Amino acid sequence: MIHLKTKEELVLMRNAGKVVADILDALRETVRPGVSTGELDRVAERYIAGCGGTASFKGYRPSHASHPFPGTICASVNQEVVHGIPSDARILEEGDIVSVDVGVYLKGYHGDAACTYPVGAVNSLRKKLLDVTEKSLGLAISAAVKGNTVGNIGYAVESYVLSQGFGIVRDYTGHGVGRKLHEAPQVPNFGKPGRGVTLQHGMTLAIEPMVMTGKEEIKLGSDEWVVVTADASDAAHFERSIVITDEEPEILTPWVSR
Amino acid sequence: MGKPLNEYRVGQVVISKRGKDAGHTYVIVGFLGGGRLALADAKKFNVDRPKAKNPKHVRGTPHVAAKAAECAASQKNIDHGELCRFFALLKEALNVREALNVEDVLNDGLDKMDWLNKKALPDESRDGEAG
Repeated sequence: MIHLKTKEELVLMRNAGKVVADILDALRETVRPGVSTGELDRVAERYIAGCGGTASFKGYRPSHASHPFPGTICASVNQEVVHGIPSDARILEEGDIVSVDVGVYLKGYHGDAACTYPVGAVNSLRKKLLDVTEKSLGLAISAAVKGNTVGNIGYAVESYVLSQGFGIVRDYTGHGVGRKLHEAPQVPNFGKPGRGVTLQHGMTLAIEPMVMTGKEEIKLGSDEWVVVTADASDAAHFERSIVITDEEPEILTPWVSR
Repeated sequence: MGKPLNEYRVGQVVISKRGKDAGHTYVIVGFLGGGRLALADAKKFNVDRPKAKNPKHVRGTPHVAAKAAECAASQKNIDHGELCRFFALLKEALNVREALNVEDVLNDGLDKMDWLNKKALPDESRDGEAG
């Protein structure tokens, strides 16, 4: 069932989303060569605790997982697409790209967003990957207007990304967000205009294109959480939580664009 | 955090909650078009001829038939004999313990079923009440 949010609920979702955005903005400044993904995790953990919230992901165990996610954030480097487990042993190197996914649960509601950051100077293909993925998110949000469908959102991502010579992840999707981290409907990064659930005022969605430079195949890592590209090509991931309004969609996780 | 397109996994034990087969136990052996699950019970339905079922019409259990899950992870075909063995031992355990509920038996663990890896899979209670 899709839960349409009231004005009062949206106030709470804006608050949770603002915390998420602030953390992502802070982590953008923290990401640099020599920093571990474990350190990024601790920065986020301290920030969330300071706001009186809790990490949405830590301890989260969906039905497909055999054990709960252990980190505050997901930190996925290079060929890791999503759900990388932060670790002090994973040191970022010059030229890497790292996707940071943050979820915050505050006063009964979740905020969920992600950015992929370059670590120092990156090669031209990685730069293009980040540009294309972030732009696809913008196009998807532009398509997320009342009366359109989730198919319009997916089509916006798919058509642009494929035109740029990259691939999309089809096995993981965006989703509704609110009182639960994962609510209905699913928001795939592919589709056809006019297909699927119709977007309505008050619908809150986490839209999250996941894009790779190589083949559209992924596999699950040995920790049963991290999702990696099957051919070890690079991947990027950008995400915002939004609410459908009568006009343009409102962004609930207003992290600052790179 | 991205949501898997399909919430279930190959090897997971599920119980039908809708249809003529309500209450029947299956193992997921794959996924079919339209988001349907491919289910096997090693009797009427097997790996080569699975039952197609809407995911909304089954209840997932926290248990997996580990051999089937291992096959899926290594992209090998699921061995029919292993599935037969799983269901035979499950039936035996039900008889020995005079239990009526499959989940009770699975929760207790099946002695000698070294390849039935009892895992606590879903805990959706976390969803929505993080922290």
